Amino acid sequence: MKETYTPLKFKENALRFIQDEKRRANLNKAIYHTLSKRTEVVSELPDWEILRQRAHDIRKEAIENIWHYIEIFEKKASENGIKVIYASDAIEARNQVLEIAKRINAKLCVKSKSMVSEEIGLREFLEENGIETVETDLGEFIVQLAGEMPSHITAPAMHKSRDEIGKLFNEKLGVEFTSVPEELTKIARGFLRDKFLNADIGISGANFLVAETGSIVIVENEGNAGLSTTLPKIHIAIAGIEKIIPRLSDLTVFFKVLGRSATAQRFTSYVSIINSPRRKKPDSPEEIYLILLDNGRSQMLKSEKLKEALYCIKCGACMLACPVYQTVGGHSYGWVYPGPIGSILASAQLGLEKATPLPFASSLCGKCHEICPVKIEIHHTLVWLRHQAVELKKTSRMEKLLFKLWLSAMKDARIYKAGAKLLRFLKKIGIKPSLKAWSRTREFPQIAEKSFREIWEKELKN
Amino acid sequence: MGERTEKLIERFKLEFERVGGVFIRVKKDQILPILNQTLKVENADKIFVEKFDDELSNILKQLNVKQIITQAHSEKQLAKVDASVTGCDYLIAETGTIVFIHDEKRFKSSILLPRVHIVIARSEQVYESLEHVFEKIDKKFDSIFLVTGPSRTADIEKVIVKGVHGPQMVYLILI
Repeated sequence: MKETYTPLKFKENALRFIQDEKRRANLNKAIYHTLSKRTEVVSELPDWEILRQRAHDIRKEAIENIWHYIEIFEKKASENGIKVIYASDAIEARNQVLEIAKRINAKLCVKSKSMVSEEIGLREFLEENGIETVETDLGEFIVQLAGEMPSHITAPAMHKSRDEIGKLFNEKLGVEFTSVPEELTKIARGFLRDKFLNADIGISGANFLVAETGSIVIVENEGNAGLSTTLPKIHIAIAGIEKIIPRLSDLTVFFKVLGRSATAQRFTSYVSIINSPRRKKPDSPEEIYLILLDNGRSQMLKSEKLKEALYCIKCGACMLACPVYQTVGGHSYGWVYPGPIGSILASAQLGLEKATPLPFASSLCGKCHEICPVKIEIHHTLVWLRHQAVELKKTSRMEKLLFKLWLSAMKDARIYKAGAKLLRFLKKIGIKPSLKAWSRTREFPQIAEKSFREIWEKELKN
Repeated sequence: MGERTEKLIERFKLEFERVGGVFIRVKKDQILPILNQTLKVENADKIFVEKFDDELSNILKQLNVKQIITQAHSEKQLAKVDASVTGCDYLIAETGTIVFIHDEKRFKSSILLPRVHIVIARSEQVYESLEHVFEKIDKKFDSIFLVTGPSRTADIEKVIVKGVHGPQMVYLILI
């Protein structure tokens, strides 16, 4: 994890991004494109709302009975020859990967896309320990070359233009400059093909873990996850404990909503449902490890309010739909999961102390909930988190005082009238109340010459 | 052929073509010329051919290319071929998806490594949806691989580019 990367710098980061018109234009173009495509593929399904409800119900069933299903999963997967390891936090998970790597004297790892590995800073950790670790998803590869963090969970390089990527490849890979996406992709294919064929370990995430069959399920478009989990001798999959689903048939519901929500596709190009290591298969890893990561999740399970955020299937739709994300971009949030759902996850995993600005980085419009394929009530949870932040005394004294005044005025008509009169008087003699923090980016409401009550009494009543 | 199967094949064709696949329907005796033509168009000299039943294997032996590999010894060898010709287990009409059960007869890397992937299927393999396939299969499978069109990305300015790590072209030849 990069040192400077913290939610506490949200305001500074957001301001910087807002002023960078080129970046904003890149981001907005990409967002608009995906959202309009998504509308098209969602509206084809007349029973979309039923599907969403079904997806919600399955996720609820899984999370409410999570330990039960994990037990079944562990039993099945172990029977099939997959080694299941439990990691309580990032340090444990990283060390377990390193231990396996050291045991086989691994020099090169290929990685397919995994947000959980970003969460625990796995790639940096392995590199620090002298193991070359290469991102193979094109977007992640670009972000790795640039030394940045992903700005969106399914489209990590969406903030970059083709020219920037061309320059980056030219500098880092020593190839001739081109800004043609087809050419750039070909360059990456050639470079990474070599890595795939020589890697000792393939590292992946998991989109779902199926309890019934003990399967690790990985959804993707490029084929890099398929290769990362087939070519190297060892496959290590890392998944948050919440990835569990009860039955194989549940997948049919999630495939329908996930592809549409994440990348506006009817069905993603590739799905690997992995039940076992090599056995009779002619190609496949000899060993498969699955690291089940807790990292704050079991704490979330204990909170009625936060539990629901674990239903998330990491599609990233709430980010695209969020007017705040659209304006400030993914990097501003300072946490691996940006946007509305990320604000909940950061508050839960880092603690509100370290994520205070995030629950406030929302207009509470509810678009995130409307678009969420598993119907998480993100906006309600954000309001609740704001309340927690106030309880933690994370708001200024001035803000509290103003809200107290406002509350007493709203409760008592006499105070309200007197207050309004005072404001009108102040306006007459030329004093405007100064509330810079509020009015810097908003129009301050004008105070009318006469109140409605006065107009009613004198002019309208009769 | 039943009307129902015909309808499913129609739907499969529509969906498969929509994701960028090339659908060709042939009679058994046309397989050889069609395949030869396809391989020529794709400039494929070196190909991998999976094990089929004897009749089909004999036909495929006569393909007009420089080198045919039928026994792959390593993934590195598969990485060097231009095209692979494989069978499949099911086709899903609703999404244009090809289902591969990954077991002793199949190299998953033969589906992913070559530039061109040609799949030979029979019309009775078409099912309506993934739900139906899940009902049908033995849950004790080793692994399953679902393929819906060629490898693709939209990571650079949302421009769709085919053939990132997997094949650029996927052909489905239905007998």
